[in-house]
Parts: sequence; C-alpha cells; structure tokens
Amino acid sequence: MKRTLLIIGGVGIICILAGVWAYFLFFGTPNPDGGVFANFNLGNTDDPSVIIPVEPVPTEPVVDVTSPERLRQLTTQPVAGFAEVQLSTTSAPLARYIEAGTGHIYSIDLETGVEQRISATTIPLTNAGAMTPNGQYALLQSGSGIGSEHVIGIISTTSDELRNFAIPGTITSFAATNDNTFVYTAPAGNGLVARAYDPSTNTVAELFRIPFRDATIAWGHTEAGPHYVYPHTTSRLEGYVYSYTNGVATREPASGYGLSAVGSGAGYIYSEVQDGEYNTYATNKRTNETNAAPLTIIPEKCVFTQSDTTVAVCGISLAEYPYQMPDPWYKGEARMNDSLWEYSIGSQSTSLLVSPENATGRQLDIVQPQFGINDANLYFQNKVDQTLWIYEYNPITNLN
Amino acid sequence: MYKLWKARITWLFVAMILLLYGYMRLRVLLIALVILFPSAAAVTAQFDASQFGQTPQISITLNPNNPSPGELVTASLDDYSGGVYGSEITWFYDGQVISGATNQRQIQFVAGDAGTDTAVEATLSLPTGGTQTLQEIISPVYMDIIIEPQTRVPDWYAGRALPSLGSQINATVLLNDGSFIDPQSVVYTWRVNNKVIEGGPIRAGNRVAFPTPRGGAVTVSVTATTPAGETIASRVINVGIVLPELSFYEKHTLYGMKSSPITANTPLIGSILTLQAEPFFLDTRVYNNPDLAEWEINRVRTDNGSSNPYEITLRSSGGNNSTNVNFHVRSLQQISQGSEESITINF
Repeated sequence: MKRTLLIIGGVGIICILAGVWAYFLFFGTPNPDGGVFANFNLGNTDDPSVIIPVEPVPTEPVVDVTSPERLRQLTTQPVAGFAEVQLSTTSAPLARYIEAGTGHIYSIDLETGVEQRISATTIPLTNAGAMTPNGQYALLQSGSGIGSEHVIGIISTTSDELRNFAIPGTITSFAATNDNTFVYTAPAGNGLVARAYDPSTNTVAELFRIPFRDATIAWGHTEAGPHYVYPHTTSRLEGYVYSYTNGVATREPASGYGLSAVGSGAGYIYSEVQDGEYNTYATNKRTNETNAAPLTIIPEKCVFTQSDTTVAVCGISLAEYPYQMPDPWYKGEARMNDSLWEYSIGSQSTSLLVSPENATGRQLDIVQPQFGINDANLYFQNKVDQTLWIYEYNPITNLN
Repeated sequence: MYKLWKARITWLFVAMILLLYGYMRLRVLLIALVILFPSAAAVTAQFDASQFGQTPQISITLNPNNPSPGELVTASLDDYSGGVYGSEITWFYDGQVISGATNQRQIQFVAGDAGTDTAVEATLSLPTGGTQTLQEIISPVYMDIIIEPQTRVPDWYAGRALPSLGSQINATVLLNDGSFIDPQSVVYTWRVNNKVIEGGPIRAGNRVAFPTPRGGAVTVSVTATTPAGETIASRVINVGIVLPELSFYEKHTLYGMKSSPITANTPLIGSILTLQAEPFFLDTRVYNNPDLAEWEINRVRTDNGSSNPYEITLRSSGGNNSTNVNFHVRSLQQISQGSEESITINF
C-alpha cells in the first residue's frame, strides 16, 4: 500500500513537471525583465558585441563591356587565349577569346557588348590558345607537359561547331601572326625548330632553328620577325638574347642573370640582375644605344605598338624588386599591382596610362599584353585569375 | 787532320789526369769538352731565347686575351728589354690616335662588334731616333654557355630549371662572330671543377652532359680553338647548385593548376580540393620514378588514391576545420634528391 502511494506520488510529480515544461515550450516567452530561465545571454540584435554574419559580397565585379571607362574587364572566367579580329575590311573589330578548360570560343561585339558563343565544341583542359586576326582559325593547347595536345580549329560562320584536327608532335611555344598564320616551335635534335603554319593552305614552312631547348620566344607580329629568343629566365643562371629576322640569327648585346626581353624592329627592352639588383634597360637599334630604363619592368608585361615600334606599353609595379626576380613571380609567390605605362625607348620617357587599382578598385598582375587592330585597344590578362581585360589605348583610332 | 786528333787526345789525356787528381773543376771540364768537340759549341749556340718561352722583347698583351664584343679590354706594353725607356708611346685604336693615352703603358678600350677585326697599335718613338710599332688584332667573339639542368619544373613555369646534386646538366656553347660559328670547325675543351671532361678536347663538341657534383656551385670552363690550336674564345662560369623545393598548388578539374601556390592564408572555396605537390628542381629521373612518395594527413600516412603520386584529393568533413597535409618525395639512392613539406589547409 505504501509502495503504491509512493508510485502514484512520483508519477504525479513527473506529470506536473512535464506540464510546466510543455507550457514553457509552447507558450512561454522569456520576460526581458523576468527570471533568468531560458535566458542564455546570447544577446540580441541590439547588442553591438554580437557578430552578425554578413552576406558575402561577390568578389568578381559584374562585367560591363560597354562601360564608358577606358579600362574594362571583359570576362569573369579564365581565358586561355584571345585576339581582336576583323572579319572583313569594313566590319567592326570583335574581341574573341577562348575559354580556359572548355576551349569554347566567344565573340564580343565591342560596340554593343553582346557576347556570343561561336564555338561550343569542347576541348577539355584547354589552357593556351591563339587566333588569327581574320577570325577564321584558332590554335588550342589541351593539357600540359608530355600529355599536351595541340589542335587547329576552323571557326564556322554558320554553326557553333569547331572543325578541328590535332597537330602531331610536341609544340613548345606558339602564336598567331598578322599574316593569319601560326608560328610555333617544336623540338628538333638538341634544339628547336621554328615553323610557320598557314591554315588556309595547310602548308608548313621552316622559319629558323634555335640551338638549345630551354628557349623562351617573344614572337614578333609577322612571320619575318623579329622574334626575340632567350634561354628560360632565372636569376641564378646567365641568359643571352638572340633575334631572328627573316630566318637570320643575331646575337644581341644583352646578357646576364635573370634576363628576359621583349622587342620590336626598332629595339628591345630587357631586364637582368646586376650587382644584386633587378634592373631594366632598353636598346634602340636605330641609334645603337642602350640606356637604363626610368622604371623597373618585367619585360613579359610589355608589348610594342605596331604604329610606332619605339613605343611599348607595359604593366609596371612601382615596388622594390627582389634580386631573385623574376623567379618568385614565375612561381606565383610574388604578385604585382600593375599600372599601365607607356614607355618610349626613343626618348627614354614614360607616362602613366591608367592605374587599375584607382580606376576599378582591383589590383591586376598584368600578363600577355596584346594590341588589337591599329593599336586601338590593348588586351591583357590578370595573372591571378586569368581574366581578360581591355584598355582603349587609342580611342581616336578606334573611331576611324 | 792527324795533328788535330793528336791534339785532342793530348788534351783529353791532360783533362783525365786533372780529374783523377781532383784538381779539375766542372767549368774547366766543360771548356775542355768544348775545345775537344767543337760541334758541341755549335749546339749551345742554337739555344734561342724563344725556346725558353720568351716572347719578343716588347709586345702588347691583352686582358682578356679573347674579349667578347663590347667587353672592356686592357692593353699593356710588356717590355722585357728596357727598350721603352725614354720612348714616346702613342696608342692607336682602329687607326685613330687614342687621346690622353700618350706615354701610358696601359690603356683601356671597349672591344668592337662581333665579326669585326680592329687593330690596337703602340708606336714607340725611340730616343735614339726611329720608331717601333707593335700591333694586336682584336676579333671579338661571343661565347655563350647555355646551362640546361635536367630537373623538374612544371610545364606552366616560365623560368628555367636549376641543377640539384646528382642531376644531369646539359651545357651548350654557342660561338658567334656575327653569325653562329659552325661547331664542326671548332675544337672544344670542357672542364668541370677544373677537371677536363669528355676525355679531352673534342672537335664539334659544343654540347656536353655531366652530373652535378657536390658543393654549392660548380665551375664550368670552356676553351674553343681552331683545329690548328689557335684560341677563339675561352670562358669560365659558376653555376649555383640548389636543393629541390616543394610547393603545393590547387588543381582544378578544368583549368589545371592555379598560378599561385597554396599557403595557410589561401582562401579555399568548396569542400573538395585537389592538391598538386610540385617538387621544383628534383632530378627528372627521380621525379618520374620516385623511391618514396608519401602523403600524410594530420600525421597519418595516407594513400592518395591516384595514379599520380604528386596529387591528392581532400574532402572536408563539414564545418570549418584545418588539416595538416604533408608530402615527402625522395630517392633512396641519392638522399639529397628529395624534399618534404607540410601545409595547413583551412576549409
């Protein structure tokens, strides 16, 4: 009997507790002035100490290719190659690019900003490419190293299908020329052979031979050149500059550690490590003079204009360059915050064109600068994300 | 004739007697021999100063001997005869008087372009009257030594590979006197750390391969000569030796490797990350066939689950977490051919 009373009492207490719990669960609102029950001191939205999660702001700006700004971002996706093309002598220039990874080719009308995919043929792992200025052919590199493959694509005007065929053998470097051909190097013996491939006639012509393998080629605008060649750059080994014009090699009077170069028919810009400092020089072939450049430049960030071959436009960072340059930049360990500068090797003068950081709020590490038709537009990529950018270098020419 | 031989025998006899009695000195014996054998005197008379390596008494020496185009050259008057004493010295370069160099025994000038022959002359107006002209011809030649170490760098890397201990170095010499000189017409002598390689001078041997020796640097020297032995150019370079360096890069399925290495501060998007370990400057033979290629995650050895030993795919278990990833690649035959590095990944 006694045990029964105890059980009834216990069940009763449990029921009361359950009822209280249920009441607070469904109806109970903690009184701010009331007891501490259910108040875990988490604060409320008025409490300035509370960290309120902020919605992430998109880091990629919206691309507006028709913006009145002279410096504009053309793509948000990584780009493998690009060119300004003109389909006929009367048509307006178009910006075209090859999407990295897929090999899809897009065309941007620079006047309307309309973007159109003109090739939907997927070439996986596309990481480099070039297109002829007439807009008819593309050369794409798929993969890297021994497994890389190079494909010639014929761009159709009636469909988004890219007729393509692979180029046999290994290609170490390539570019498109103003002659609507592709120039490239392939291993040959202990060195390299440079060839020109004309896709319209499907013919190959040998241009010149390079007597070593680890060569960087700064291709000229035409098959004839001049093409500047130097051993791959490192601050720990000496390099030398050779130019090839119409197949004839010339040893240029430039050598040193950390040496790289870019040039035109009128001269060339080169940088090297001297006495523990990374310095830039310019050689004017017309006057046979070499001068120290007013600013330190990584030559790979420069391109000479075609209208005045003594003038180059370069991405330049006004920062201290370590003596190991350019190795850390190649490795991706050093990033640049470049501005676009115009540099005349004739007058040894420089002038600032635009600071991307001031103009867009973004820091750009400029690579692959390339002029469009009549030097009206300058195209380049940001090394960090491989996006494509345009700068209206000569708007007056653009209007003509 | 008989009288002559009689006299010789007499003198020989006398000489032997003197020698036997210990009164003979070496000098006297020589005199005796000369007298007895006049032909011996003729032999001594044939000794010429040039046979002892002496150059003409006054000459111009160049430093460096075979300058490159545009190189600063020092020309000195070497006078072993004292003939310059009191002479007025006038220097000419390419036929033009070098101003300010009158009566200098040493001048400096910049060598001309490749493929040009330029005369450097010194005219001595002797105090006794008359002049003496000395001349050297400068024919500058570029001698480029291109070092191509056979070590690993990724395909996208624009720089050159660097030599690490035991790796192979390919070296090529390019001679240019306005155009590339055909290696077939040149004899090359290569030295690595002052030891001649390839067994000695080799014609057309403008390209060699040798293993990277121990030390912080290797000295490579080359001398190029004509088949007749005339030196065309000579150079010595030091090549620094490095240790392999390991970096980690994010690998995208479509785009391939990113251009910047992953660091602890690198923001990573998504819950899956494919990591590529890049052992810069590892001997390509070791890279292609490593004895040891191990991944560790949070200090636990892990199978990377890929046919590529340098690649691993990581999956986040959810939430914010950090993972320690370690990679170790090494040759067990050449222990210095390897590298180990860790990185903390913050998902």
